[in-house]
Amino acid sequence: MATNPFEQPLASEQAKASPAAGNPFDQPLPSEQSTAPQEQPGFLSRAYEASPLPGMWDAAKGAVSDFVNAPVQGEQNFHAMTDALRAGNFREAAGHAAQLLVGDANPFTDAAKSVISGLTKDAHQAGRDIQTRNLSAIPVIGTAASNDAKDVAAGNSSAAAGDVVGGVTSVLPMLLGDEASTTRAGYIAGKVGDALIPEKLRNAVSDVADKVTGDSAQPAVQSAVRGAAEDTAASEGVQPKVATSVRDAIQNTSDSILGRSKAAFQTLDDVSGGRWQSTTKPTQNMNSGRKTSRQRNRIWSIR
Amino acid sequence: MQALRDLSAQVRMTTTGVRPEMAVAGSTPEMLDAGKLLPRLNKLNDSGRLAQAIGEDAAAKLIQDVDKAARTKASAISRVKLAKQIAVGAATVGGAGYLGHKAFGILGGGH
Repeated sequence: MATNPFEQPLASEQAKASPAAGNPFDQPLPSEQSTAPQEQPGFLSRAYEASPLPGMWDAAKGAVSDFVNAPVQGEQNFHAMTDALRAGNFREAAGHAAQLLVGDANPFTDAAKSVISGLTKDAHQAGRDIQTRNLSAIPVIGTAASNDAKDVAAGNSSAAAGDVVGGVTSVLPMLLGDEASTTRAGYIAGKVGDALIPEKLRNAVSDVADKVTGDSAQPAVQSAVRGAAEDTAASEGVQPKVATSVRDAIQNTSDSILGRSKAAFQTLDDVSGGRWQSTTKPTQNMNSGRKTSRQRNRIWSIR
Repeated sequence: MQALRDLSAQVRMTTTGVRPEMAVAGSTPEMLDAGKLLPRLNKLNDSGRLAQAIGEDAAAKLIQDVDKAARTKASAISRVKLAKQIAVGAATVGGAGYLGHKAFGILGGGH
């Protein structure tokens, strides 16, 4: 059907035709090709899967099929909107969709409505969940956080980052407005978008970061410190008290060595007729940095 | 021995949370901040104090192990920064609110 422009591949599809054309987000973005560091496979596809894009894209394609015989008006805007969707640019897609809705009459209004509806779907509930910090109730964020920890544990940091990006994009629709009220749309975009989301999002991802740190980094760093204490104790031939807290690992070893030394100090004290003990305090003060000229003179005079 | 006390002091200053023996359900877990400990260890090492405390080989191993843990944490933090940058970028989308107004007006204020 050569007269139907919608059965022809989009210009961008022709340009990007590849074996992975089924998922356009497997294609690197131009900005990533030029500046971003090489990502492991899985970043874009995970971001794509975690975001609301697949459903939106299907909705947009469905809307296109309803208009196959419609006259070609606003085609450029429509193609720009679908291209923006495929590129993951919600802002641009929403802008083109809104232009289709508020501009001259065209056959693409339902498609534009599908896009806007997709963007705003569940936005109101998401806003309430974020305000109450019930982030697990937001499916994408909850999934992203869970997958993120698993991926980091498995060393797949790229896919984990993709989940975070996908999770973030799921919050974007609420910036475009409240489904029930145009007034609240402005409120959410202006107030929630500026202040609440970055803070809540930061907390959400911080929780993940803390979990990652707690799950994988803590055993390593704590065992390193404990290991150093145990090795030192072994080389000194002492058996320090077992440290429940990592805070005490080094200290217990130090105390054990000090305890062993006390016997030697007593011997020295006995041999020196009690003179050794008088050097102990000034020596400790020198070690801790609290020394006076009088103390130094006393030490030198003993020597 | 004083060198060991210096090392212990640095470990204690970079540890947060509740001691395990004092912890109850829901307590903040005891966490040793590898990112903060690493520069302190390097400082002790530069002055020779770390090797004096635990020996040269153990000093090198301790720094290597803490560095490895610090890098794990750094990768987690970089994701936080990434998300923050995206979130800040998302906040700029607030300008689309006007378009949202019009769009919702046409949509009849709902789905």
